[in-house]
Amino acid sequence: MGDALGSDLISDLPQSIVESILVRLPIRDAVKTSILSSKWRYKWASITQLVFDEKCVDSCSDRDVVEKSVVKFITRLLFLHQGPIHKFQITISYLQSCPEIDQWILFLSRNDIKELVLELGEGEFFRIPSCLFNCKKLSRLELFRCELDPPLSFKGFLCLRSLNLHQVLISPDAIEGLISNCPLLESLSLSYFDSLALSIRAPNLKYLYLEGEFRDICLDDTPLLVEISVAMYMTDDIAEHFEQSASCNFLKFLGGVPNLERLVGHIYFTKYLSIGNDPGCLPIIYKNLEIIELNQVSFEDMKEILVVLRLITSSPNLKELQISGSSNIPSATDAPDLDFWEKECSSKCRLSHLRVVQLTDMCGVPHEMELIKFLLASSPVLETMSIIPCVYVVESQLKMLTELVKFRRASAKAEIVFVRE
Amino acid sequence: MDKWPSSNQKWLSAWCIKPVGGALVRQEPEYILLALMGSPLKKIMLCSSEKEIFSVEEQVMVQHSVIINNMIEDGSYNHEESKIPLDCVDSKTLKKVIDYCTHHTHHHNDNQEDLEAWDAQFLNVDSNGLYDLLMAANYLEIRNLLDLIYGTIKNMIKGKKIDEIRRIFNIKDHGFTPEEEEQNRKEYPHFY
Repeated sequence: MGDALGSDLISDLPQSIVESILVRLPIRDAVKTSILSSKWRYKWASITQLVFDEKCVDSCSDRDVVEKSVVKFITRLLFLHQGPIHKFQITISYLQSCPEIDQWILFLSRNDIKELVLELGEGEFFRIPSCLFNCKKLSRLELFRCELDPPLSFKGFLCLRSLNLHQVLISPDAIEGLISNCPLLESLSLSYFDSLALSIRAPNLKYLYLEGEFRDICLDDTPLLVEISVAMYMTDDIAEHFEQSASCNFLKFLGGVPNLERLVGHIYFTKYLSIGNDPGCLPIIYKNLEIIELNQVSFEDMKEILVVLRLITSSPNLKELQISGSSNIPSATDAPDLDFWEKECSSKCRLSHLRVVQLTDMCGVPHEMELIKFLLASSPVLETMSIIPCVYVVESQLKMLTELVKFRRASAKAEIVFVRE
Repeated sequence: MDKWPSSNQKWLSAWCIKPVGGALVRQEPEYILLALMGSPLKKIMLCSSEKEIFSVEEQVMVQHSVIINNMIEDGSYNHEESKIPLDCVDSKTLKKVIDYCTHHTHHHNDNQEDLEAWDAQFLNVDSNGLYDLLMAANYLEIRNLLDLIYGTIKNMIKGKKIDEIRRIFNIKDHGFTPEEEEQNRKEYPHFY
């Protein structure tokens, strides 16, 4: 590409174009251009996005040396930087909490920071300095393994659209306050909180992702929610707390989200929803809900099955359904209450848009078969139903298949795919 | 075609021009979007800095260049007689830009690999050519061509040693004092 007679045009490009190029380089290559020529000395210094990862300094076998080297690199860089910094991201597993990080955040708070991502190494949690709460233009905040303690005078991040806290130490009041004081919040992700009891008030929230041991979640004011994904772990004392609770979790969680388009649940989510009094026929219809994915549903718990049914029958536009069983070897089968199915599923129920169904970890217990029977009979445009049996129950696979073959299908196009390992 | 700007409807209702019996006749304002989509070969004229005129499908340029799209939308372009003067773009570069936009409009359903191969071949030019294309894409605000060129230039820098980058960019005089250059080489030997 280089031609001997050509002239150096690249060095005279307008700064905006040079920045567009430098911002696409790893930070190390961008800063390296400062020794390219005297014209290039400070071209890198005004880029507005700084992303630091494991590769930004030379690696070597001594972790301490690398860590010191990274701290020095970032500090020097910030010192030489000119102008606003809109995005600052650190994802470095060997960087531990250290006093320099406080100084970097102070510097960023004075330079219009908009997006901050801090993912440090295992070890002591980094205590976020109070200057973070002065970052008025913050629109995205992601923190991993930090301690967050908003001052009493904190009125919220007025521009914050996306909040992701992963293993963050913060008091429940503080986190509720943080969420409700960020009026533009659209995306919220909370992972690995212990025994959190939370009431979420976020009128603009569209995307919610929760993972961890939650004691109690109440979606108080989230009318615009479009996507919910929950992975709920449970400990013994949380389970005990649930036994005593009478309020209906289903309504507390899904009672105020009429615009929901996609719902994903893992582990104990369905069990969580099943606790409390049965809401009966649901007061809301989820007219936009097109994808439901519920994992680890226990088909031996009538209340969980009821939750699944209520969701399906309240979503007239459901297109895709994925359910996985709890993959426990079924306990001694008590005579299951099959009358329940006749009572709950009226033959008039039509899932007129359901096209794809996937059922995983099926053991062949009676309630699973009844669900399949119900789905086949009520889905006139069904295209594919995939059934993946649980690996432990090889003997009952033949029995499952025999029953399957007998079921009436409302859709002439329906293909049943039984996947055997 | 699926990227047809809906604001064209406004323009069309003001200037409905249909060929009737061979002549161009102005009609009452009506939505002839369908008629227009049925005749995608409506052409516009682009004029290079060397005063050479290029005729190109309007739909092609409107899809790729924000500047040209805006000119047509706000009605400052009259199909019957005017041409769009592009004084910063010479004929050779303008022809290449038109090639790029035309290919990407007509082949947008091709698979990714084929498109990338075509793009790589398209950018196989000398540094002057690349510079001219970059300036033209920047002026006309052609996002995907800009991204493509940024990516190419970025690859000339990423992971390369300083001496190599200087050679590629034709930086003959680095402008540092001999002491500065020596200091840099001592401090960062592995970058050279």
